[in-house]
Parts: sequence; C-alpha cells; structure tokens
Amino acid sequence: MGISINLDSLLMLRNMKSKELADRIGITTANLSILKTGKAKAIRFSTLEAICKVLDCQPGDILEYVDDPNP
Amino acid sequence: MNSIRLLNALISIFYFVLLVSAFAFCAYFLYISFSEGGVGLMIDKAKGDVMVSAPNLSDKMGIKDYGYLLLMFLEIVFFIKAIYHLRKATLKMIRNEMFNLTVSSNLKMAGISMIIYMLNKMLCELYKDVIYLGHFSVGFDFSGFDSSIFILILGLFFILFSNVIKNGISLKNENELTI
Repeated sequence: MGISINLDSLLMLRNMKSKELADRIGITTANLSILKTGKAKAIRFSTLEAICKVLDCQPGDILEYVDDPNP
Repeated sequence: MNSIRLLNALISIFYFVLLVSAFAFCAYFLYISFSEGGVGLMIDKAKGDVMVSAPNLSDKMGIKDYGYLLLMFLEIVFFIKAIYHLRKATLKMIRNEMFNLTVSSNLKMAGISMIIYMLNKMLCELYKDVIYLGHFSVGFDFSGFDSSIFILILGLFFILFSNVIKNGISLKNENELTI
C-alpha cells in the first residue's frame, strides 16, 4: 500500500505504550494493531483527530505516502 | 429473519419431497428392471408423451432410448442439485451469515444448475420430438411458472445475486477494516 503509518515511531518519541494510546482514543488494541501494521483499509477522521490530539501531532506526522513500485 | 426461516422451511420440504420422488422413480425403475427383465419406453404420440414402462408395452430398448433415459435422469439430478444449493444457502442465511462466501457460491451453483436443468429440459424435449414423435421444434415454453424461460430468469437472477453478495462481502471487510 502507498500510505504508511508512522505510529510506532511517534509512540516511541512520546514514550507511550500502544495500550495507553488505544485506551485514550477509545479503540481496541486489536484495531490499533491493524492500523499500525498497515492492514487497515481506511481511517475515520474522528480516529485521526483523536490520535493527533493524544500524540499532539499533525495528520502528516502519522500518515506518509511511499511510492509503491508494485501497487 | 422470519421470512428466511419460512423460505428455508419451504425449500426443505420441497427438497425432501423431490428426493422421495427421485428415489421412488429409481425404485420403480429397478423394480421394472428386475421383475420384468428390463425397462421400456411407452410412446403416446397423441399426447406427445414418452414414459418409462414395462418392456412388454413397448419396443425393444435401443441406444436412442437409453440416451433419452439419461437425459431424463440428468434433468432430475440438476433440478435436485439446484434446490440442494438453495437450501444450503438459506441455512447459512438463517445463522445470520448473509455475507458469506458459502452463501455466494451456493447461490451461484443453484443458478448454474437451474440453467443447465433448463437447457437439458429443452434438449430432452427436442430429443423426444425428433426421435419419437418425428417432428422438429425448438422454442421457449411461456406457459407458466414452470416454464423454461422463467427457470432461466431465476437461474440468472441467482448468479447475479451471488455476485451482489460477493460485493457485499468485500464492502463488509472494508468496513470492518476502517479504524
């Protein structure tokens, strides 16, 4: 997929655990794992907003476009 | 959900009645074969009917007669197969698993079986007309709900509906993977 999720690096920078983030944004750890591993098909604006609020970042810090030679 | 239960009940009753009829036909066939020393075909040219009978009522069975019996047998097999797949699909639907690959594949198989049944039925009619009644006619039967055109429409509808369910499965997966 051309869009990669940089949640792991942001969590490391904020010294936060996945479970804590999941609890604070109100999703399950299983769903957060789906998001982190890039298996998610889409992300809701409300989820993105919650993540940005908790991690104090911009959507561009979480999502990154990577040129995929084999889409 | 109640409508699916009712549909499944009706299909199940129809399916078991069909199975009993098919077994009765086979039993009759075997009974004639063993008790009368073979089977024969009785041709009623006035009514345009060809029926399985004891050999003393008809001419000696030849390859063309066995061909007709085979077509009749395939007609029964494909009709039962179509109803079997429909029953399986509705059973899954009862368990609240509407968007399931099993439902989709069973509906597709039901549709294909119905189309093959209809084509086989037409071939059987053509065979009977040409071989036994001595005239040639090809056409769709528009006479009622058991007409060949209606069964063709039903078969195509089931294939289309199976594609709708397949699309539903991909939409459901996409929805479940939206975080």
